[in-house]
Amino acid sequence: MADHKHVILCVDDEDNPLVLRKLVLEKAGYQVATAHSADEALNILESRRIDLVLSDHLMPGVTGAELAQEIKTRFPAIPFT
Amino acid sequence: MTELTTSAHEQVNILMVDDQPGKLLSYEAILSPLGENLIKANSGREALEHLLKHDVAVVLMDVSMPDIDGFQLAEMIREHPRFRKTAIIFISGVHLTDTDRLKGYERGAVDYIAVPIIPDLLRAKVSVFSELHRKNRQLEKLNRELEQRVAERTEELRQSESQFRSLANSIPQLAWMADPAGGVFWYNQRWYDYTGTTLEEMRGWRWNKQIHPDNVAAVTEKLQRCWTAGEPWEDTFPLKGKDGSYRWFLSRALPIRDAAGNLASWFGTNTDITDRKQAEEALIKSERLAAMGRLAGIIAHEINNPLEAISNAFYLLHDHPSLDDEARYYSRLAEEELARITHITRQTLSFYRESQQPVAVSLSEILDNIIELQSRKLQLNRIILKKDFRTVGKIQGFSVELKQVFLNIITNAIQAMPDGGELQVKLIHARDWSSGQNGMRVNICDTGLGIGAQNAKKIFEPFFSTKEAKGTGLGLWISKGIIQKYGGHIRFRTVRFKTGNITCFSVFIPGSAATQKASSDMAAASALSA
Repeated sequence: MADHKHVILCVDDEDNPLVLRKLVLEKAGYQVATAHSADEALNILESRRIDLVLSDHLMPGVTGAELAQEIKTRFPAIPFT
Repeated sequence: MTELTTSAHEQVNILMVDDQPGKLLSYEAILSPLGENLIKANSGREALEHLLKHDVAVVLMDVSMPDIDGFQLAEMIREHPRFRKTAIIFISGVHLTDTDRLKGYERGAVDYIAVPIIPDLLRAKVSVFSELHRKNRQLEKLNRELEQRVAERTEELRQSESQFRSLANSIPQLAWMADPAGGVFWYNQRWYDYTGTTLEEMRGWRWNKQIHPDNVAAVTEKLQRCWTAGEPWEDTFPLKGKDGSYRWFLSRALPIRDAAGNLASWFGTNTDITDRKQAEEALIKSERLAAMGRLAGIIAHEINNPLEAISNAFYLLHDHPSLDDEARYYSRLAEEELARITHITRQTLSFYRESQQPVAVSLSEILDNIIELQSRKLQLNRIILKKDFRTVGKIQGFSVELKQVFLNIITNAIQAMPDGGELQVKLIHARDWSSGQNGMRVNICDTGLGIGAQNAKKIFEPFFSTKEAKGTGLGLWISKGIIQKYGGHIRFRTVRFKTGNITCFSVFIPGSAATQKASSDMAAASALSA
């Protein structure tokens, strides 16, 4: 099931849900990176390998859908949900 | 006036009667300057013949004549109704006593002339009577013209009256007329058709028994105020129809004034605004629903996020090594209750979520979802469910809309079986025989009350409901619109058996191979953006 090498990037503007999501995923054996905004997420994507992006939809500034569009054009290989 | 001047020059006939031709000649000589038509008669008999042939203005006659004397002739003339007003002037050779004169007047003479005749006097007298006759004739003519004109006007009036009536009866409004005090004396046919009353029942103020009891006082008060002030009236209130039900009318009355500006009558109309009112209410309702939907969307997000966080927290908590058995038990209870909340928010709030683009939806999933929502009602009403899904039923669409359609039909079916029954829900691949298209068919059948022939034509009309206060009357109308948008159709029929009725609603939604393919592409795309 969980491949230890898989890295998931969680994006959420709210702290508590973000931290809890990270903990649950880590418990399931994933490596988890977090970002509080779309911009921060894009910076992380530039700097390291990410296998999956898990993002909130309604965020101030760039929304989840817009982030998805951006990722699709810049990093077509990354699944996004 | 031209007619008057022409007739002023018209000659009148003057009949001169004397047995002596010489005298007749001398009268002729005296009277010819008047320019009238002079007729001579040598005897009473001849005079009568002329009278019958001509319209005579003045008869000039000798009192003493051999066959019929002047007095006798005058009497005979007067007897004829046509000559009652003909002027008769007697010429008398002998001196007449006052008694003689009186006798003459009694016989109808209007004047006397004694011999020797003074020509100017005779001319003057004849001229006066000729003129009088001419005036009379003109008057009569005018009279006849007047009568003719009156007859024409009466006919015009009758025509305009009948035009008014046919107009008043053809307008969609109820209409009426009232006297200045407000007493109604006329209604159009529509009033009688709608209220089922007669003029006698409605005359005067009696019509106000058609006003809804709750509104009578206010309506009457306002109406009386306008009546008194002579100002136009407008009001909105329900009027009772012949079946006893009330409909809303916009009522108006205008004062009609005569040429002098006095209030002559009132003309009023009542316009049925029930449908408009219902449409307005429905609009408000649907706007409220849309606002609720938006609100629900926001709440769904705001609730789902913390809910997920709490669920995650409990998930982390329940295996935590520091927890003893009791704490773990509490945590598990909390998790279970949380699962319930999650389920309920998903069920209700997801209902309002709106997709922007059609996506691949599964009819079987939608139907299962609705059946689950209705499961308690099915149990309560002791309704047996028979489900027969032969396909997943993937089509392109909006699940919210489709849910609305099938929820509507299934709810109706359940409500039609208050005393239990059987609900059949069938989903199959189908080909529409009328269009030859391939697609999905959903059949929803119940063993309920059935749909009567009188309602069958109306059930897809807006605001038609058999559920009285319970239904908006919009459900099937909206459903039909939604299915038509998909290029499909809804049909239904009730089959009656001795043992009961079976009512089937059949919904066909086309879905060609191409759209099936498109739908799977869409599904893949949407998986990335949900």
